[in-house]
Amino acid sequence: MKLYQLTISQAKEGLEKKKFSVKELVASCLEQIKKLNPKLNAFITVCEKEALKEAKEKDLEIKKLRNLEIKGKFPLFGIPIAAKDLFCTKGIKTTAGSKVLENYIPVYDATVIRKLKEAGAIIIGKTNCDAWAHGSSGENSDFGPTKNPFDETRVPGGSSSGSAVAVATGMSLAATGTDTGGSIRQPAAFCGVVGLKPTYGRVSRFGVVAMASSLDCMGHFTKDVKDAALVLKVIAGKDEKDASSLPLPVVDYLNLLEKPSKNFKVGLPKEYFIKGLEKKIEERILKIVKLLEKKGIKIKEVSLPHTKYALATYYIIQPAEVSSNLARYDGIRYGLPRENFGAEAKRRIMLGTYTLSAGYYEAYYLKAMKVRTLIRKDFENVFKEVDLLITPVTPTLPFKLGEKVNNPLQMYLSDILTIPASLAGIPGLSLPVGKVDNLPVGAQILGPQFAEEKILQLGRIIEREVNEK
Amino acid sequence: MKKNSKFSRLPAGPRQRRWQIPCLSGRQANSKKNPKSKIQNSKLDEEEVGHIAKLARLKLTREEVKMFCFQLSEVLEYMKVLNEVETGGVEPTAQVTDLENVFREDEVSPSLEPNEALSCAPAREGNFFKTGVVLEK
Repeated sequence: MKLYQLTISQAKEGLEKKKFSVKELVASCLEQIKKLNPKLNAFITVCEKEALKEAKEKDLEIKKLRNLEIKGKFPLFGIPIAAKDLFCTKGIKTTAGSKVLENYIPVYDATVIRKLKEAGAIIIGKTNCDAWAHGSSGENSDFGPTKNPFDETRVPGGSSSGSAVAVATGMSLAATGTDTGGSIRQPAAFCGVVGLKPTYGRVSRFGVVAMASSLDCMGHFTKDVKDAALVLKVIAGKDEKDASSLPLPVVDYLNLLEKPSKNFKVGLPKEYFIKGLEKKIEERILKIVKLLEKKGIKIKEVSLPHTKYALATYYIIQPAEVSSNLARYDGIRYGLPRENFGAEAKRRIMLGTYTLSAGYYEAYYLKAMKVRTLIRKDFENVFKEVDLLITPVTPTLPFKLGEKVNNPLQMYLSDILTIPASLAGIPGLSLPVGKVDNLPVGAQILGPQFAEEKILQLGRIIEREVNEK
Repeated sequence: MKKNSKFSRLPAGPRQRRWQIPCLSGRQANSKKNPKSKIQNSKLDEEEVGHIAKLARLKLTREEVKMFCFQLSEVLEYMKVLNEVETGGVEPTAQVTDLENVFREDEVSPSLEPNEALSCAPAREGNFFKTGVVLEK
């Protein structure tokens, strides 16, 4: 087994037992980047020099540390992690995938980046993404599309396209992402990795280029559920610099992982198994459900009646917030002038400007905010009946590059199964559950707000079942 | 920028009403008490697209205007599905975690040095960002 193939927990064990050095681990990922990035275009910036330098320092440090400290104080000691290029990294170019910021070098770290570094992680590079996180395929990047490693003629999903590909190919052991309507969960499903969108407010948004502030969630891609739990423990928590982050205690997700409740009740929302969902994906999900039933988990069909209104609601609220957030880019303090915005950013700015304007505000924006309440209530009601929900992540398998670029509405529809959870601010886990036609398929686990430990527990159960098959 | 156009956030003036009439012609008579609360015509024409772009400080080419006319109209048309939903008496959701009144002590703490804050500025003069002329005498 090559070092880049390791999960975080395996790599930690190897480092603790001195089987290899931090430098060897980092070099292995860098080699993988050199080999695959020219084809897959997952990274906008590779921090080769910085990462190797830091790895050397860490190797010196490790001699002074006891293993206990690596486990406790530095839970990500020496682990190479990639960051979506939306996360500000001090001294490292941060483009948000847009030409507008092609020369922007932040003078501070996003809170997530600061926490990862404090936990001992090494930032190995900045990953490609749809510009401003606008997109479901990675094709809206001003730095060229990222390709799906399972089939280079297909999209890896988006907007966190490069992060998903980086983890799927071992270019990094984990990667950060942002999820506003599915931008972590959908590419995770398309690339066969684990993607976690935490509850809104669980992880600080400070220092991450804002897309839609009432929806944006910071999360991550990992190779397995265990690593997802480990990283969440590091990045979650209240941040003075993000007033919308919540002061709730951060539990030990990793420890709780193997202690799931004996009587989980899992709901199967019928509105997620609709026409337009590929038959083979449906079969795959239902097979998983059967496996769970055999394990004694209770399954119940439930209903979220306002699901079909979620996409229209989202495509009013999100562009409205986008138009406001992107108003700050004036090319005066940093970045290039507004004519550098790409087509999708322009489209969303205009859509938002329109639906917020007098005479239209009530019919579009206010109406959408009210329907959002109904969608939230749907989830509140359903979580009185069941603990968690299981659904497909995407209605289709990874589609072809270019297939939907000229049809924005079709592109928007690819997020139809991830958007409702975003509107309700609840956490979601995207989990690989095997392949169909040699392409990965993902299952989505949703839970009530701040029930991350539960969705991770169910994720772990499913992961074990799938790996045994 | 046209003042009091239908996109302006200013209170409705006579001009604004005149702007809205072509959009609603024929429908207004049939619609219920409050026509504003339902999505009516969702077709955008080139003039409207041009105007929205102006409000958003975006410069569009002729081709882009044409493309956006079609694409935005299609997306807005899709949103009509929301007309089906009964939302009488429903409170709007602006945020999902019900946090209220998040305060902190108003204390002075270190922040960016001027040189750091200006490090990405395309043009500076002393410790200031330098911009083009906005207001003329």
